[in-house]
Amino acid sequence: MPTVLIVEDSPSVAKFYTLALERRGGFACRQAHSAEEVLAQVRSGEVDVVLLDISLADFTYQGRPIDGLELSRLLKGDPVTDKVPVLLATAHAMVGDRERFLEASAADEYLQKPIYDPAILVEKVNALLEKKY
Amino acid sequence: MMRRRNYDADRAPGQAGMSDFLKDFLRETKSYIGLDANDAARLAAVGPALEPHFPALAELFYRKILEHPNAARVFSGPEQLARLNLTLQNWARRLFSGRYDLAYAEDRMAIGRRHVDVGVPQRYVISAMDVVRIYLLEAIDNAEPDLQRAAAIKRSLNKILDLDLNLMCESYFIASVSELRDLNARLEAANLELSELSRVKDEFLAHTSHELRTPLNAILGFSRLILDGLCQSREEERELLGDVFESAQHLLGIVNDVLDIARIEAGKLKLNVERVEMRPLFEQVLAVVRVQADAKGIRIVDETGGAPLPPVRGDAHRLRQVLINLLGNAVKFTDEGWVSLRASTGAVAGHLQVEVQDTGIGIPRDKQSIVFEKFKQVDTSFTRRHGGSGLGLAICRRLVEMMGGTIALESPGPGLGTLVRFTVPLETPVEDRPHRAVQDQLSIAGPPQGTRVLVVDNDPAFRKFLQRLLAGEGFAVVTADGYADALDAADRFHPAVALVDWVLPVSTSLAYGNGIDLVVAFQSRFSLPSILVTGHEPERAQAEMARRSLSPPPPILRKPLDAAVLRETMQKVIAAHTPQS
Repeated sequence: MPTVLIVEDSPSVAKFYTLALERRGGFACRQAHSAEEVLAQVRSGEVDVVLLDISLADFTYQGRPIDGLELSRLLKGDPVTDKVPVLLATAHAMVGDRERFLEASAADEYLQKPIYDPAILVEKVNALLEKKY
Repeated sequence: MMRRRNYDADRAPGQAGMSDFLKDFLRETKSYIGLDANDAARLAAVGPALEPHFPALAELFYRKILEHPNAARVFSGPEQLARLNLTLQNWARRLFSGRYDLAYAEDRMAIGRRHVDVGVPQRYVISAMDVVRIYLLEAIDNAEPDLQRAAAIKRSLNKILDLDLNLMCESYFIASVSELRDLNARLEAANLELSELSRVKDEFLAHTSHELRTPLNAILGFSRLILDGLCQSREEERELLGDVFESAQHLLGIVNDVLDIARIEAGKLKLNVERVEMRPLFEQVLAVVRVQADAKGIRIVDETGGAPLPPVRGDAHRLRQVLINLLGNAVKFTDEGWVSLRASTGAVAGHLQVEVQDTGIGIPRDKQSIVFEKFKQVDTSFTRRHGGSGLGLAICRRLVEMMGGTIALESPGPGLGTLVRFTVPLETPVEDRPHRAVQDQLSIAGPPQGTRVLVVDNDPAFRKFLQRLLAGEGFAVVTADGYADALDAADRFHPAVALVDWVLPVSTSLAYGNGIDLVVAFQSRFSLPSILVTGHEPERAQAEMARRSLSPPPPILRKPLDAAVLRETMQKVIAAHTPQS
């Protein structure tokens, strides 16, 4: 059973992702609430896909605030974690955001909130898993 | 060669750059016209013979100039005209002085400049000069019987008049250049402001879009899960519906904030100002906020119970909104410790002062001034901790100001807590309050923290003039156009001094009274000192004032007002009224 790491600062949105991915896709879900936790979980090899929000209230890395774009770059810059697909999910949805964010984060895919259809979410994650294997 | 490029139009005449420019201009023009020492000598020689013609000449010149309404307006009355006539006779005398040096040029430029200032178009000056030319040429023919000599003098006269005309036109040109520069500078400033505004709006739109999508995500996602039958029990379904409901409420809050600020911006927010008892309001609000505080383990300290709270004048619904917002913020930005609510009278005369203090994250000093601006949040980066419309404090500020109070924030710095303080006017015990013309928004010109002045005048132009003058001198100015509005404004704005026009129309509504009635009412109801302003017959105002027992009687100033006298009088009145401490 593939495992999705959910990194999202809104508890209700995180809850929705978890339910949607578990019930619709049969994935196992985890959550992380700090940058160090994210890095450790992905390094452990137990995470197959990272679902990552861009705005991360309260997230710090080495004592300073960090957002999803930088966190993604950290994952993609580390040979241990760079193969794990990152799916950016964000409510920043102005024209040009998609390209800007993909470029700035080196992430694999981008989803624009509101993401409310469990089927689409599952489909995106599955596509990334196929890419990985 | 474009010599005038060397001229710096921003410099005042008389400065080094101006003199250099003028010297060059004079030399070049003289040589171009061919005005030389012979002309000077000829003109000097004929001068005395023409002297008797100068009064008539002056008359002619100004009759021409006065055809322009601007000139007619400025040069009115026999005294003014007599002075002008003398000035022009001097101008004519100087034409025949034989000395056409820098001082001469400067004098001519100054005359030209005066015409510019009065607003007489250049073409009027040119045709007036033409009238002068024809007149003088004829006078020379009469004064000099020798035809050849007369012709030579007339050639010289034409040259000096050309020089004068050139100098006058140049002063028009210089004025246009500097006017254009001013205009350009103002346009540039306006453009900058607009592009900043547009940037802020873009940012706001992006931010609002983000804030709306987050709760929408939960609402749509959870309902979809339920609809797709992915819930495992009725209980789970109910739980998710609860989440949907909560997110929808959050969404509603953001939408309301956006609508509020839009309404305020458009001047369409209506306040229902009435007598409001604060005690029940505090209790309602504290009950709401306690729920949030309890969830975070923060103590709510109600310090408002100590003294009786007098009623205030405000909009109960909006006061509640302000309190909820400030207390809600305090709880939101505090992770441990307490949030305290205090209220006191006496700190600000005629107002109730409310304080909300917390032990939360505080605000860096450099950000403290922007938190009340709309669309501004202290932290708009992706890492910021706290969502929301970013409009709460901007809305609070506008609401408080519309009710006639002020709001300010203090924080010793990050991590050291925040104190927000706002005021609401107290309800004044007036039984016979006239039915007031409902004016929702007290529009305050000038710095809000400046000494408060109320301007009452039914002439919109004069109101505007005083408003700009006083705002420019650092006063916070509110204006009113009639009796009822003035009482209402005094009631809500609590000015330190009022400027009252003696003649106020008895308006069509229930409003009544003239300026003196208003001064009396200000004094008796609000102990607000006034300065009476009158356009005519200050003696009558004085006499009428004497019949009223006003102590001290208000100073009476006559229109047109002299800015310095006004300032001095206001300072005196305010100082005399301030209790000695």
